[in-house]
Amino acid sequence: MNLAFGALFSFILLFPGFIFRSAYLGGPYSRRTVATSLVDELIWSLAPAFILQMLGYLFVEYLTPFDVNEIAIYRLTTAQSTLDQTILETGIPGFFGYQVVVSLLAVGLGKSLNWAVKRYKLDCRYYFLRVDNDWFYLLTGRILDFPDMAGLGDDVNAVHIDVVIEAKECSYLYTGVLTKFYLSREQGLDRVYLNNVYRRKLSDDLPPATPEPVPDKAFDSRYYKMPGDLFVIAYTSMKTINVSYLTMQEVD
Amino acid sequence: MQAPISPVVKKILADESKSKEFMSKLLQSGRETGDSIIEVEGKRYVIRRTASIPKP
Repeated sequence: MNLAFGALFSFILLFPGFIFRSAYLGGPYSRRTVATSLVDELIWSLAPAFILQMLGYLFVEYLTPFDVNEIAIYRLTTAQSTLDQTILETGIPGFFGYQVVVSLLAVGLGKSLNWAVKRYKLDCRYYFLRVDNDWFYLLTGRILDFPDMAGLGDDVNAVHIDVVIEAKECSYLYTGVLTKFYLSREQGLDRVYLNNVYRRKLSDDLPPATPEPVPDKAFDSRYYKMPGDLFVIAYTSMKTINVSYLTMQEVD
Repeated sequence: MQAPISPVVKKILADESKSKEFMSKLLQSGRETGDSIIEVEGKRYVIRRTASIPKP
């Protein structure tokens, strides 16, 4: 028996951990949309794999008539050549059946935990439970549910953003209401879609002491209204982003 | 992914003059600490920064 077989067997034992992590982080806006390495995946899958395998072991050992051959498992993972081949051959169907059951359990537990964490906003309170990509929390307003932030994510009625983009001649500030955003594996954020967009030169900032120059319902002359229904800004062209969360409260 | 937009804001954005007024108020409130009020279909709404509303 060679070392590669031991590694393969260890990977098979860890597999439910991968499944659990995939089920927990499932969804188009998950943290996994950002590229991770195999080593990262291995490390984050170790703990759930250990827990699932321990639960499976205790279940089979104490609640079924089957007996777990711990010595055989030890020898397989450490690639020892002293293992009786007949034990290996007779144990394979049962072991794979067990793996299928544990993997299904991993899917169920991963999905259930995902639901519970989002339902009770535990991902906003504890970093290690974070399910979604950081941009998702920022651009949906769920970041307001983080303990160190003021306001509530559920109160957000619109997200207003200002983006600085560098052009050849100068930098421009684009301001508008965020309608959609898309994530990418490489940078996390791919592009944003804005509505009701205005643009001005960044250098046209008012001095801090300037009194309010805009009378009600008039518009600041420094701004130019961008024509079109949707304005798309690629993440690669953004220099900085300023995000404001808005709440519309009805008054008498 | 759809960003959060309430029906009231959608109505504002669909109306050219209202959206201009909305944006004007946003730019003002960005510089001032006070809230702005906008009227949509006979109802008055105060535009507030969500982060200025304390957690319950």
